[in-house]
Amino acid sequence: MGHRHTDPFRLSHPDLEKLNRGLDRRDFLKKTAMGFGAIALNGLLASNQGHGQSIEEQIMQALPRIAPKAKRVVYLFMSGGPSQFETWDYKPELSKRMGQDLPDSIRKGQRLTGMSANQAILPVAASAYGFRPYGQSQTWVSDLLPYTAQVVDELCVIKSMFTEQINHDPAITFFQTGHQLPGRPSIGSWMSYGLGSENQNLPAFIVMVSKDASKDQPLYARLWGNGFLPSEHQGVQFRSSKDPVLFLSNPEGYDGQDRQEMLAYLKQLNQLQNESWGDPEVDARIAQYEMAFKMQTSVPEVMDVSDEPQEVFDLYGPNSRDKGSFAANCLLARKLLEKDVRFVQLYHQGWDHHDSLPKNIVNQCKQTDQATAALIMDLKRRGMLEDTLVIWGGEFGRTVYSQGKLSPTGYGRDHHPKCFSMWMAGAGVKAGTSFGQTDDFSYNIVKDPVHVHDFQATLLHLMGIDHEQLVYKYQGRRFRLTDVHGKIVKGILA
Amino acid sequence: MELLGHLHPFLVHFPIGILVIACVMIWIQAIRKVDYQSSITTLVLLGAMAAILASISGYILSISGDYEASQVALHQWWGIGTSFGAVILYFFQAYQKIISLFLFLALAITGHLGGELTYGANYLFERKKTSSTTQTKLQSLDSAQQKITIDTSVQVVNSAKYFPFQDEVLPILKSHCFQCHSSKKQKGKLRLDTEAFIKKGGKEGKILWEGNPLKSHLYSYLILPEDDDLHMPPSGKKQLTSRQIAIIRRWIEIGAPFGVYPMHATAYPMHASDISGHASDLFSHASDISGHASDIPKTMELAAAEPADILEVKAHGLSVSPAASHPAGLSLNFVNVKNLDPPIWQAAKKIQHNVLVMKLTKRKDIQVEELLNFTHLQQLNLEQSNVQDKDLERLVQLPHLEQLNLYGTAISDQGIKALTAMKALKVLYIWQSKLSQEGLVALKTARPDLTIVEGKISFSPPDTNRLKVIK
Repeated sequence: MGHRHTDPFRLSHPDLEKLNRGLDRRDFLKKTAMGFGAIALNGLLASNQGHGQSIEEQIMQALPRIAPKAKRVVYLFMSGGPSQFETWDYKPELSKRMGQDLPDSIRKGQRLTGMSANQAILPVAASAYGFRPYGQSQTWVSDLLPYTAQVVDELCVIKSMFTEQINHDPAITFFQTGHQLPGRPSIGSWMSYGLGSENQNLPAFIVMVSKDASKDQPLYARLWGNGFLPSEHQGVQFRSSKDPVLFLSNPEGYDGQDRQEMLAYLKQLNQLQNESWGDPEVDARIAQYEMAFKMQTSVPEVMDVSDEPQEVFDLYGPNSRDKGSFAANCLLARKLLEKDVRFVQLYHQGWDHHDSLPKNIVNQCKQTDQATAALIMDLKRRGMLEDTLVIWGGEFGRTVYSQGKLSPTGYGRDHHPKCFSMWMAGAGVKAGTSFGQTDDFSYNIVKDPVHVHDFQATLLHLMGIDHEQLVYKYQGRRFRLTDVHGKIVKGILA
Repeated sequence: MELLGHLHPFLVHFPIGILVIACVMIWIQAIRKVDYQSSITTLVLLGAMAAILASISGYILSISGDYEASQVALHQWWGIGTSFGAVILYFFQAYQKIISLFLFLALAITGHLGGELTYGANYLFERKKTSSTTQTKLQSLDSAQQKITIDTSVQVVNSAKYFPFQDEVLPILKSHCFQCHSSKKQKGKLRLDTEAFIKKGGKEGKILWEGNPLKSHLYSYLILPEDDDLHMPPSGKKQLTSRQIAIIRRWIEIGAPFGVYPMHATAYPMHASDISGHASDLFSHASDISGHASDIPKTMELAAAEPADILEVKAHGLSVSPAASHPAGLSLNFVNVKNLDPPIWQAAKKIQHNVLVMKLTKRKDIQVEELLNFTHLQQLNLEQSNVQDKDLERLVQLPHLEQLNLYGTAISDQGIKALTAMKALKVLYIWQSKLSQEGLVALKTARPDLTIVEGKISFSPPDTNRLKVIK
């Protein structure tokens, strides 16, 4: 806190002095909130680049040292709740029970959503698509994922995920922020806060949303928001249109030199403001302007795919030249990861198949399957898969019974939080394995349940962060991504 | 009874206040020739009663055991003496002027002795540390540099021998804890002034679990909210700074060593896990994931990098992060560096032994001689760079190189001999290099143990028939 006291301006007026005391108190609280960050006695990794950086790194220094297996994460969020029955959780027994009412011994009085609670019968619906075992691991994969199936030996499929939320918004908010109500920082923001940015010219947390998905459930920018963390840690959304980042390019007729000068003066003004008020958000603003200026050159460069050979587009599939598609975003994700962006999150909506699931899921899989597999293999041949973690999954699973009328080829599935499948690949996870097990109806978990907080704890662990130590004090309490929960899933760690 | 004892700090104010007023009035009466005598008599009686009550409550407090008897004795006898003096004053009004002088003196001495018991010896004359003057010139350093200045304010003792308890922990205990937990007072039956007492703990048992700060009350009570009853130091007393709290935490984490702590084994004094000696065992016990400490190879004896050197490397735009394979190991990434100028290498060389991973992706200005300084390199990323076959022959000199990424380089069959000679090499990336098929076969024959990632991807197209509903 020392340097604030040395500022003569702030102590020259009684009012300012009063304010000063208030700020010092807040500043003190803030520093305490930075956890035990100050122990970076030696300022080991204190950065001299940009504001706030060294505090973050001090935090890292204060954390118990866990060997960081992953340097980067790409999280393919399948928004809407992909059905586990048609993707990863093969239940061959179900075809024998097709149309039968779901036994009470399985449902055990579980509360259902209002969408299917009033159905006279809960008819079991087997997958309309076949499964085959693939790879050396002989993992059973749906016929809808023919490309991902071919990289299955790279994956660690978790079949025993469960959540506490049954509707989209709370469930996705819970996954992203560790709490079902909005307002807390997203995983990527925690990473940015905890680890900082490796590449000083790009944000640590970048988000892309597929434009080719059906927008059955909305996404909100708060899902990649910084919550109460300093604003520079919010996810930056890259769009598919002419300006990937809104308002980044110079206005027409306004040249870069002018912009640079303007920003330099603005920074001076902000710094004056910072000196007299000491509000950390002024730091954040300065950092964001600096980042925005750097991004004026770094973003167009990284978004330019013109020098990618045809072979790459072939690999990611026919949609990969279509800007904003999931495939194109996967390709961009690889480019961002190559630039050492810490956390890239892709969202693909359209998995909320309450009806006509067999028809609709085919398209969903087609849009995502090949590019997903391509991303893994592309990272692998570049030597990046060993320190990049790839995650695929939605916010919950779907019910074994059909919502609405069941016909051999037409059925829907309602939301099901009690079990669903996800997979991880790459840095630090056991490749070619499956983890956890559900019952014959994929309704309950029978082995190795993985709670959302457990997933988050494991994710942080792989990045070298102890989830119990990455803490931010806000409004009088200490917050964590995993709240007061979370156990590292050791069974999936390589 | 105990309550009366606890009321002592409250009760002592009455005899002091009342008797001082009485003494003052005695002298005003003598000098100004006014008649206050009836008031004085009442006050002295009240004061004497209050003094006796204070003495009794003080005695009860002293036998509670929180205080060292020898420290209390003096205060106790002066207190009793003061009460006695007040009684004498009441009965011998004729000599009240003289007696009041002695009584006043006795009050002052008793009060001071009591104050020392509560606030510590030399409390009265101790010099307050003056905070830095406001007239210090406005620093034009950028904020990052200021932060570094702050960081160095906690000194790292960079000698081979290091006494974390004496140097860092003890001063904190002395200034914040001894007042109630030392020879003077033993609140909660706890003393913190010697190793034996700290290890013994207080009336609730052990307060220190080596390696586990959250289990240790010595630490965990510090981080409770200030309004919590168990929070230490108690609300209203001088609080620890976050840095001081962190020091205690780190000290417990490294196994709470009371004596010498070997510096060479760890990258971060008072910070990282020790790879040799008992501290590491304790650390891994305490850790949530036992085993993660053990997956760090202990083969390489590696000294810690100097923090100042790391800062300098970072100042040149390099990203420095911990390497996974060794606690003192570092990973260097040149992604933010524009040109690989000599000063950059000059700086990087200062931490050359700690660099285990180096990432030089897409660089076209690599001078391979510079890389040879980093003799501990385990992983080298030279993908899409300007490295040539002849450079590989030089890189053979890196004895620990386990992983080499050469995708997108001009490496050709002429480099095979060098690659074969890299004894430690385990993983090689050669996608999009100029290596021929024959060359690849030759390399595989020469080094069957090597994992070669060729980067060939051939997805077989999906069987569209299977995308139809099967029913």
